[in-house]
Amino acid sequence: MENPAPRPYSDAKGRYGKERIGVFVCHCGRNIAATVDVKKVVEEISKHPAVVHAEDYDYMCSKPGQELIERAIEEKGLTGVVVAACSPSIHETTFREVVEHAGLNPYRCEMANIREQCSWVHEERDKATEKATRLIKSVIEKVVRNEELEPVKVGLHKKALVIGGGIAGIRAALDIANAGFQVILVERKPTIGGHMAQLAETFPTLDCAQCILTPLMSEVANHPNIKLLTLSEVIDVEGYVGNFHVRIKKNPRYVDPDKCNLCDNCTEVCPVVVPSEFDEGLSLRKAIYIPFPQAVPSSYVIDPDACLGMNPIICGKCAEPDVCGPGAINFYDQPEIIEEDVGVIIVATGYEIYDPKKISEYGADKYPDIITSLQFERLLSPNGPTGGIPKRPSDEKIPKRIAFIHCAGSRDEKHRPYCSHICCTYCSKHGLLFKELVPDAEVYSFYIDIRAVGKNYEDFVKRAQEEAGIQFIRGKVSKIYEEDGKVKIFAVDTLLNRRIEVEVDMAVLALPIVPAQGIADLASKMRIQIDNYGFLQERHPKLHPVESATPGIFFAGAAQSPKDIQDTVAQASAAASKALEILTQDEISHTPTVASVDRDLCSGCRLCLSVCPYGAIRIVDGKAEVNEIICEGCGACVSTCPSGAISLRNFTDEQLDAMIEAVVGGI
Amino acid sequence: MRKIKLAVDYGSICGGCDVAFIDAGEKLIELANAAEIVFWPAVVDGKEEDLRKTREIDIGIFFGAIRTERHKEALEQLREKSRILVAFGTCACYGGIPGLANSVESRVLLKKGYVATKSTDNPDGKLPGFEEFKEAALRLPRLRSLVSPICDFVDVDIWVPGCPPPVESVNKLIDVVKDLQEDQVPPKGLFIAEGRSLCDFCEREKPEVLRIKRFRRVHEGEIKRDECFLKQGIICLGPVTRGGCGARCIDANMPCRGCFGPVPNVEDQGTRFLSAVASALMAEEEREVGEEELRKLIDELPDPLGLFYMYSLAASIINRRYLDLEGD
Repeated sequence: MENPAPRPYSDAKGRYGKERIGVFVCHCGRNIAATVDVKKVVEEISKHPAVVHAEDYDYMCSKPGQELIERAIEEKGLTGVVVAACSPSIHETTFREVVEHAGLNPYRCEMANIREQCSWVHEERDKATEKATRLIKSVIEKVVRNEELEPVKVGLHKKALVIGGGIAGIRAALDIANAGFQVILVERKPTIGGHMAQLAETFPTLDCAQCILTPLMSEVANHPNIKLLTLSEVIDVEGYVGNFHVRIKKNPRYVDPDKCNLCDNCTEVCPVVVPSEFDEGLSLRKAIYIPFPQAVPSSYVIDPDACLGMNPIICGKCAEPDVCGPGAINFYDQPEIIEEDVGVIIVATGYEIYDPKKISEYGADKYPDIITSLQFERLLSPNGPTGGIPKRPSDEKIPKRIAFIHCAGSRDEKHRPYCSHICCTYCSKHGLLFKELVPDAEVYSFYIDIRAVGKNYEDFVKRAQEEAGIQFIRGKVSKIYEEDGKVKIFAVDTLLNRRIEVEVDMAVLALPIVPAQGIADLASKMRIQIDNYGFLQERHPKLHPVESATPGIFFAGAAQSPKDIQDTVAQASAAASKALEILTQDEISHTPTVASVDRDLCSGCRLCLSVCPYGAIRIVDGKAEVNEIICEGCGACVSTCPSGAISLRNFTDEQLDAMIEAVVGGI
Repeated sequence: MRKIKLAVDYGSICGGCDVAFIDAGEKLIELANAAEIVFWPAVVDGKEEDLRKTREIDIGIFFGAIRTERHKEALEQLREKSRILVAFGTCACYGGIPGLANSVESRVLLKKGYVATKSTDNPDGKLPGFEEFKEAALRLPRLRSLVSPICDFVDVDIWVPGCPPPVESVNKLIDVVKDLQEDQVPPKGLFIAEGRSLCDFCEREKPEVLRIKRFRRVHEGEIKRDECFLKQGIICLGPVTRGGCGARCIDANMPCRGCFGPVPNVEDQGTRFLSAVASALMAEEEREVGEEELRKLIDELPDPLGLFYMYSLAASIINRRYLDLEGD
C-alpha cells in the first residue's frame, strides 16, 4: 500500500502540503456496518498522510453525527472533510451545510459512497472493507484538490409562464397568481378548460365536471395577475432559470372578445358546417362558433380553415352590421408574436387519446357504434350532443346492451405498453352512470386487471360491480365489428378459460392516453427531456417528480404521465409551489461546479455546442463560453472537447487521475 | 565565436527528417558556420566511433522512434553526451507512423513477415534478432515489443513535431543553435510549434454548431475548400492537434491527420478525439436514430485506430502497460 507512514501523519513526499483532512465513517445502522468493518476502515484511513482525524458513528446524518463533524473542524483545524456514508445525491447538501456552519467552504466537503457503491452490493466483508477504504482514499485525493467555490448568483424575472390551459395549467396558474405573481397562461385552443370541460361527471364522487371546473375558469378570466393567451403557442424559449425569454405566437381569433356579446346571430347565418371538436365529432358546429357556453375567454371564434370569409368576396355574412351589431368580427385579424421574460415555466400540455384507427381490429374508424371513451363522456354529458342521454350514433336509439373495452391499446406491446392509469375507474363510472340512465341495460366491462389505485377508487369499482350489476369479464378482446346494427365482440374469458362472443348495441374503447401532439417539439425548444413514450421526463421519479432536469421548468398533469384529475391538481399545485420557491427569491443561486473554458486552448471547433443538453455554451469571439447559470455541470462538453479546453470545476482531469490512482493503485 | 558541437542520431526513420533539413536551403550555411557536426550519418562522413569518442556535445538531435534495442542504445548515448536533446520529427516525439505497429506486439509482426507469408521459405521459423547468424558473423538488433517515442526513456529538451517538420521549424532550430553560440539556452521543454490548435490557424469557415451526422472519406465526393472539414463529415484532427505546421494539408484541401501531436492540455490525441466524435455523433438524436443506425454510422469509419492514432499510437495510453517490460 502506498501509505506506510505511521502517525503523526508525516507526509514524506509533501504531496498534501498543509492539508488537514477529517474522515467521518458512517455505519448507517447495519446498512454499511453489516458488510464493511467500519472500525478497520477508520484504523486504515487514520494512517493516510493527509488525514488528521478519523472517526465513525452510527448515523453520521443525525444531529449528534453532524456535531462530531463540526467539533472536529473546530478542534483539529480541518481543511477538508470526507464523509463516508451514502450517495452524495442523498446527503451531500446536509454535510456541506454542516461544514459551512463550522466555517469551512462547503466545497471542501465530499462524500465517499460506501453504501450504494460498496456495502449494498458486496457480501465478502474483507474485500468490502478494503474497497471502502480505497473509495475514501480516492475522495481524499479529490478533496485536497477541490477549490473553494462560491455559488453563482443572478437576478430573475418574477413572472411565470404556464403552457396549457387544462385543469393542470389552470390550477398552477391560479396558485401562482394568488401568491401575488404575474402569470402568462398560454393555451393552443380557443378556450381554456381542456379535456375536463368535456367530461360528464368525475370519479369517484360523481361531481359534475363542468360545475367544478368553470368557477376556476372564470377565476382565471378575472384574475388581475393572469394574462391569458388563447389560440397561442410557444414558438421559442431561450435563457435559463429566472431569465427565460419566450416568444409566443398568438393566432388570430377574428372575433374581438371585448366586443362579442355572445348573441349567437353569427352562427345562424354561417353557411359552413364542420364536426365539433368539443363533442369529439358527434355533433356539428359552424365555422364561427363558441366551443361551449362557459368558454373562457367568453367569445366566439372563427375557424379559419373552415370559414369562407377568409376571402370576403365569397362570404362575409356574419360580419354584416345587422348580424354582428357590435362589429366584433374582423377577417383581417393577423397573428401576433408576443415576447415575454419569465423566471419559471410550467408545462401542462395534457394528453390526447391514441388514434383508434391504429387498432384496426377494434373497428372504431369503420363502424359508427364503436366509439371512444371521450365520445361516450360527451354522450353522458348534459350539454352533450344527445342532452345527456346516450344514443347510438348510427340510429340515435338508446343502447340496451353496451360493452366497455379496457386496455384498448394500453398494456399492449403493439400499441402502448404502459397502463393508462385512469381507464379502469372511468369505465366503471361510465357503466354506473349509464345504468342510472338506462336501468334495464346490460353492461359488460372487458378488462385485463382492475387497477383502481387511488383514494376510494376500489369502493367505486366495487359499487359498479355490485350495486350496478355491471358484468366484469376478465379477458382481452380480440376483435370488434358491427353487422346488421349489432356490435359483435370476440374475447377470451381468462377466468373461465373459454372463448366468448357478445352481441351489444354499442362498444366503448378505453384508448391509451398519449402525450399531446407537438410535445416533442416543445420539449426540444425548451431543452427538456421526454421519455420513450413522449411523456415529459421528470428529474427524479421520487425526489423531483414535478421538475424537469432543466432548472426552472416544471411539469403538471398528464403531460408527464397518464393521470386522473386528483393527481393532476395535486401535481399542478406542487409545480406551482416549486415555481414559487424560485419566484420568491431576489436572486437565483446556482451551483458553481460547472464547466469552464480555457480560451487559449479552445480551438473554436463548435463540437461542444452540439452536445450541451442545456444550451449553456455559445461562441464569443470565436471561442466557446459557458453560461454558468445554465450549465448543470454534466460534463458532456468536457468529454467532447477535442482540445482539452473545457474542464469541470472540482472535477478536473488532474483530480480524476488522482482518484483513479487511489482506487486502483497497487491492484 | 565558438562552434557548437552538434550530433544527429537515428531511431526508426524514413529519411524524411534529413530531407526536411535540406529544404532549409541557404539557411544550412548558417548552420554549417555555427556548428561543428560531430556525427550525422546522412550529412557528414563519420563512424559511430567518432560519436562514442566525443565526450560532450552541445546539442544532440534524435530522429525517429525507438523500435529496436539498437535505437534505444543510440538514444541513451546521445542523451548522455548532449547538453540539449532535441526530439526531431513526429516519430521521435510521438512514435509516428511506425507506432501503428503497436496494434500488435512485435512477435506477431515478425511471424507475419518472416514465417507466415506464403512467399517465405523459413522452415525453422528463424526470426531476426532472436538468432545469431553465425555464417555472416552478424547479429541483428532485436525488435522491442513495442515502438516508443523517445520521451519514454530520456528527458527531452526541445520538441520539434511534424512529419516531417516544416522548413520554418528547421529554421527556428538552426536559430536555437546560433543562440547557443552566445550561450542563450532555450527554455526546457520548448516546443517548436504553437501552443494552440490547428483550428486557430485554419481559415475555413466554421459552422454555427458542429453536428456530426455522418462520416465521409476524402475520396467520397467533392470537398468544399472554404468549409470546415468536420462540418462536411470528414474527420479532421485539427481541434486536437497543435498548430505550427503552416496548415499545409488544409491548404491542399486535405484534412489534418494530426502529425503535430496533441494540443498542450491533451495527453492522448486519439482517445481524446475519439471521445469527441463519439459524444457529438448524432448528439440529441441518438434516441430517434437508435443503436443499430448508430452502429452503421460508426462503421463508416473503416479504420478508427489508423485514423485517430495515425501518428500517436506509440505515445497513447493504449498498451502502456507493456512499457514496463524490457525488450520483448
